[in-house]
Amino acid sequence: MQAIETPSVRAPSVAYWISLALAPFVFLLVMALIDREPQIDPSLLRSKFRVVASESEQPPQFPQDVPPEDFAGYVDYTPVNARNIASIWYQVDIETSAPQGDLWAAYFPTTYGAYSVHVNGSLVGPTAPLRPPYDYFRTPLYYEFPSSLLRPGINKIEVHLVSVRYAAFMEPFYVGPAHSIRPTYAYANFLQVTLVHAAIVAMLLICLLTLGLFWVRPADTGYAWFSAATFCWAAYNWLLLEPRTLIPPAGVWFSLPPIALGWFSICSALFINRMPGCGGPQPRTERVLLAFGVVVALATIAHRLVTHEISWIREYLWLPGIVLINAYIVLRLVLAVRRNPTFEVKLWLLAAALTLVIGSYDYLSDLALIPIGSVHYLSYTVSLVLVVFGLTLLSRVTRALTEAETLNRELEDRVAAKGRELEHNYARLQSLERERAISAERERMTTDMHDGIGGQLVHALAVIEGNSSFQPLEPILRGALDDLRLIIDSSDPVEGNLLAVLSNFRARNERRVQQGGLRFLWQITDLPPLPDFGPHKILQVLRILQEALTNVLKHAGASEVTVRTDIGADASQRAAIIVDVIDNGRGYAPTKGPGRGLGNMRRRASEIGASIEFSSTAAGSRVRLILPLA
Amino acid sequence: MRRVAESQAGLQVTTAVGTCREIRAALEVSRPTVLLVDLGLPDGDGLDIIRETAQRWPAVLIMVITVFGDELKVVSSIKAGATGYLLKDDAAVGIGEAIRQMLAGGSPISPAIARHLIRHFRPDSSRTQAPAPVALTPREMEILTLASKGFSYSETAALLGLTSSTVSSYTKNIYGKLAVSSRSEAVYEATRMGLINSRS
Repeated sequence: MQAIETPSVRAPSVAYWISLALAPFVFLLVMALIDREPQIDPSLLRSKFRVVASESEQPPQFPQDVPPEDFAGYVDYTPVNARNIASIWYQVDIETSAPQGDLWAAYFPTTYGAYSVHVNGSLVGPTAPLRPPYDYFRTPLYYEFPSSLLRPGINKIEVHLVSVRYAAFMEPFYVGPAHSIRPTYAYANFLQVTLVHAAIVAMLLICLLTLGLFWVRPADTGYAWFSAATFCWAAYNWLLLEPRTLIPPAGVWFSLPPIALGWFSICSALFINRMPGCGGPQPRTERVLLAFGVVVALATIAHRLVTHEISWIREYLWLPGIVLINAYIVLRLVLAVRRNPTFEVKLWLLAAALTLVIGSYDYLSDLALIPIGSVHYLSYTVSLVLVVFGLTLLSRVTRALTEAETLNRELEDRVAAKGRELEHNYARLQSLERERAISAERERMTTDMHDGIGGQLVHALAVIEGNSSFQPLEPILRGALDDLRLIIDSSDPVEGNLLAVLSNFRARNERRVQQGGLRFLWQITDLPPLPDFGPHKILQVLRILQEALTNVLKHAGASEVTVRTDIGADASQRAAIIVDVIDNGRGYAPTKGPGRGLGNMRRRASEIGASIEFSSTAAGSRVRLILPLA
Repeated sequence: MRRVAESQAGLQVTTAVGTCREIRAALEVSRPTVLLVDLGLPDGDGLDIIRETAQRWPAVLIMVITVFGDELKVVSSIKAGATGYLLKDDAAVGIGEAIRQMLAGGSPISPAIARHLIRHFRPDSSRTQAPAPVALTPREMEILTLASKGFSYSETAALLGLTSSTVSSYTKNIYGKLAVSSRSEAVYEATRMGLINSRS
């Protein structure tokens, strides 16, 4: 038998709980290490701007009498326009004596909208000035320009930012020689764009795969929820990554990421509830979760349709809700681990706890309660977690397949073995049965022969040896031959058909009756089958008839012998077949009965459960054999 | 046996031999009207002799001599081509009558053999083979049925309003049909098993 890998079932040790508590921090540490972009010369960081709110596509006039200010976060420049879109121009002074290198670059590590960059009045990126509908970016932006645009002394770099009013942040950005900035941008782009794209593709694959599993096994609804969760997650990441237009109604797209994130959590909870060993579905809680998801999603979209204000629904409903749902998942898994500490459940708890901690961390950093990292770690965490889950699901499936195959093979082997055993037993039974039948048949034949032909042959031998009184040999031997024929005839299967036996009897004796100068009269009727009419009974009937016929031929002096059949009843009123052998001879005195073998006939009849009656008058005699039908 | 046979009017024993080889040789020389053959010959099976003779000289009437006259042996003899049978112990006394009876039509059909024939020719037979290619006429079937119930030739004739000789010729037909039908059955079986190509 092939070894089946079974999940280890061991009570979670203290070490497990400790590692569970430490895992998120180890993960954060690892992420922090990965998240270390190459450092850019801090002198290239520009954080002092002049600011003007203007919807102009070209740089506006900046008041040159004020020096650029140290920019301190969000400034509310109201009112901008009716659509609640902020269009703001920033100006940075850069003093260069001799520009180093041919190529310079402007790099925005963190973005919240559409940006264009002008150097000394010339547009360097994007290819066209900003105009509606504006694209909204969340990914690092990087524009290169030739250093020939710069001149010795003070250079004016103008940045046009268009965003929704509440998100119109201008973070400090870099302007400097491209070679000192490009590696940092490339690393950030890889981390925030390439990697996330890869994760989206992986999620969609896992989504399809688990959907396929659900298709094959519709009873495992856990697969469906897992598939939905991975889809929501892929959607969430894609929505964050792709530039979106700021103009409604397409602006409704803005409401989708929190919806996708929320539904990801809800699907995950339902999935976990359906995993083996996790306690099973909790219909009431799950209904609350689903209702929450539907109501808040509709509210988010509705809110986005009527207003362009910052969505408090995301901040104060979705995100806390998601954290709570994740806490619920972790709680369920903790209970599951205590109850059923398989390797899988332990792994899942680890994954869920990690997600909860990282998610909370991201949420807190969103609320600016803790320092903001350059990226949201949740994306990476969840992608990792989903891959782990996908792999365990797949391993479950392959394990189940292997197990099924092994079981099938084993079952086939066992069935085959049983079949062989049965066959063997059956053959043995059959051979036993055959042996028994043969032995019974041999016993019957021995008895039957001893009763007839054996005695006649012994008698003939005695005559030849002169030990017996003189007797002609011929009738004795003829009798022996007759009896042998009776034995052979009696082994013909007749299926209870007495008429077949009687007809044979007549055919055998016709010639003899004729040679005795008698007429053989045949008065038969159709007869019902006799039950249990085997060779032994047939032989006894034949011998009785033979004896009766021999008596008629020897003693009666008759001119006719009649065989007649009828249906009647025996002494105890049971239905019976009646066979008469009647002659028209002179009859006999009752005292002479024994010499005619009447006792012998009576004995044979009673042996097969039949009865026999003899009657004799001066006009003839009759032997009546009565064979009961039941 | 020769003595008994010749003592009865009209019969002449042409050859008396003891082995299959001698029978074949004798048949080449003299073409008898009747061939009396025992099934248990020292150098072969009497059934083969019957089959050969029936094929090469259909005019020769073949009679089987058997000790017990049991159904199995008699029926296979008829299937091979015999038209009569004789019990060995009757041979001494009844041989002449039996041969004459056969010359007139066919040996009387014993009830056991009649039952066998009925089973063989029954049209609604549950056998999965093709129906017997040669069917019995209703009259022939009636005769067989009466025979199977033990009625003699003359009784059968009386019951059916026929003469004994008519019954006798019906009997001969029945013998012939069994032989024919068992030959076609053999062909049918062989065709079915691919031994004979039915289109050739």
